[in-house]
Amino acid sequence: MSSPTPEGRRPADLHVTMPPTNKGLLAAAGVCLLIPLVALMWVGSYAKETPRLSGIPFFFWYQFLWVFLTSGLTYAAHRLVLAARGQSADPYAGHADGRPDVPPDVPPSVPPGDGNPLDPTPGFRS
Amino acid sequence: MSAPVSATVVPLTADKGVNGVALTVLIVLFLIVTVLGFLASRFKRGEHLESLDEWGLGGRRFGTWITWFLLGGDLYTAYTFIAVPAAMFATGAVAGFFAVPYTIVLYPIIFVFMARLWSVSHRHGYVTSADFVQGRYGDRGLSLAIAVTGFLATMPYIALQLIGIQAVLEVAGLGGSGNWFAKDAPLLIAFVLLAAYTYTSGLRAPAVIAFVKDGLIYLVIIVAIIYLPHHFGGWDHIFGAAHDKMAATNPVTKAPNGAFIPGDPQKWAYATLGLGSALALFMYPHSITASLSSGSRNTIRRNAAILPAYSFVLGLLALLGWVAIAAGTKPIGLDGKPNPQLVIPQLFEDSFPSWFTGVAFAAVAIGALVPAAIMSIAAANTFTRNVYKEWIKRDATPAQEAQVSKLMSLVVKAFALAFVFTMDKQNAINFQLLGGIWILQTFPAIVFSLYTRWFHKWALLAGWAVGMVYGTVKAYQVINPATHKHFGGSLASMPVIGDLGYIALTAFVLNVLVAVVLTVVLRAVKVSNGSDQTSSYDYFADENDPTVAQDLSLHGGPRAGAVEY
Repeated sequence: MSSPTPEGRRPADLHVTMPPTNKGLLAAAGVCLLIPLVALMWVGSYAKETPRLSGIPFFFWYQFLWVFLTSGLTYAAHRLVLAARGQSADPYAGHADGRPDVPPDVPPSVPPGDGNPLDPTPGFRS
Repeated sequence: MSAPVSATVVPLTADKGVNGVALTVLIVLFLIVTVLGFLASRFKRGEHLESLDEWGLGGRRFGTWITWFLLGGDLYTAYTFIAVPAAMFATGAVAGFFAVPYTIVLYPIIFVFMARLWSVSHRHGYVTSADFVQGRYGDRGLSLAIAVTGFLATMPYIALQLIGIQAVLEVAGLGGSGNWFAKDAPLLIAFVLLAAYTYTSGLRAPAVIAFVKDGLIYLVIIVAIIYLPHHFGGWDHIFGAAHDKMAATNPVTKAPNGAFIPGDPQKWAYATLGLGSALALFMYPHSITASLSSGSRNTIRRNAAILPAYSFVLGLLALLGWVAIAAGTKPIGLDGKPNPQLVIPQLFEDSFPSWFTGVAFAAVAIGALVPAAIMSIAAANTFTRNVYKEWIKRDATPAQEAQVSKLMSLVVKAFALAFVFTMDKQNAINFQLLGGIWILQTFPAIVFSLYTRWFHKWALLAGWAVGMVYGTVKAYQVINPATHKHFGGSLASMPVIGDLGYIALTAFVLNVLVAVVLTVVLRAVKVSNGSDQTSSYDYFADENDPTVAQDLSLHGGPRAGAVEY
């Protein structure tokens, strides 16, 4: 088969649309992720001894600082991407296509679990 | 400023007998972990272990914190904990401290693509990255290339974990002299136990042990970083000692010992080592295995934000390599020769009471077990899915797949043991260096394909081949200035730029160039690019997505009950 990209090909009965996306928020997330790369790959900006921080040369404490900055920026990117796709951190809240704010239906072919701890069916597991 | 009291505080020639207390603590902790490894088969258990989803991916239902411990235990290996401070101690910041920017930029990078890989793997039941490539292009050749590269790159990595255990056993006084059996038996026993509980519990074993490993690592390093700098004259004195050692001329190479802070010619090396390693790390099968075992796409992204905690600890550990310089640590092996790899175990033995030294040794030894288990599982899964099922027995059932994988995990470990027992450990280090170069060459086929099918499968294969050959040849040509042997390092002069840079990244750039040019040609002459099993929606699907639940229940998938713990 030579047709290149079957974009959006879905079984007809599922009626899935791609989640709508806020491009601006996605771009903001991209910037958050790009900042640490630029900062740390630009070695010339921090390959120096001063100013020292309680005896530790700049080169070292500056990179330790970026551990925290990157962690914060990555988390910010995570929230931005969720917002861009119309989701919140709560997996059930606000589905992109406007479904009501409830857990997705368990398909009727799967009966609820009976409480057996080895049973992976949803409903009765902690 | 601190008084120069260090160096004399510790006995410079540690007594080379067996450290009984430390060894006892080590053995007790090791046995606890062994019991946990066997009990782990009950941990968040699914219906049965008889499928790769269950045995090889822990049921794909690990939540944020389990994934944090598992990935942390997986990526920050015992060998890392031995080798990074050793590199700092021996040659300074370029070879050692690049691990910090490497493990920082790692997370923004995987944030971008790992959620897509998780989603498409979740939708189609992919267990390895080669599974995905196979599904994306319907081409066994490209997927075999990815699988074989992953397998080859993982094998020496497992062997290096053994070398990490050997380092602590050697400083504890075990395994140096005597006959073959006395020398190798402790390592053999440790690995046989590891093989046994990995066989029975699958990925659940390292998931449980990772809690102990990471807990011990955090405890040991935080205690060390609070106590040792003060004990050895403060940071001013430590950095002063490191500066003096790095600036001094090496009698063999007639050049400075190393770099205190990367100078102008070394900035490219520092940056390319960091970036190249970061791009490569999540191409390793064991990283993919641990990522795919998580229960949702957001688990991965949340982890990208909290995993840098380990990078902070790794940075502290790197600095301990320089604390050892100020402390005057003498890393002498049981064969009487200096061996920088022993510097951290030796520093702990010199500076701490025996029982705490035992805890530190256990942290390293157990730290080797978690990645060794995950690596052997990942290599076994790769063999099963992309060699056995694809080329040997195409109608293999899930139960047969699990059985083959379990047996293969034993074979892989046996091979790693044989490697360490029969060959000079420099071989393992050389192969590991090559493995890092090789694995990065799978990046275009895996990551670019998550976004586009513009690239032609044969162009990706050709790019991979060019990158592999170029990287291997360049690495072979690097001569160690002290020993004059091949594979002397991972840096070579970069074309166009001229400065030294990480060979893997240069090979990667070549790889991409070849892939782009050949894609243009192949598309122009309209050569078929295979068939695509995936659809664009697959790359966004999440665990609670109604369509995923529906599809999985239609296929009777064991993951219908995956919930975030």
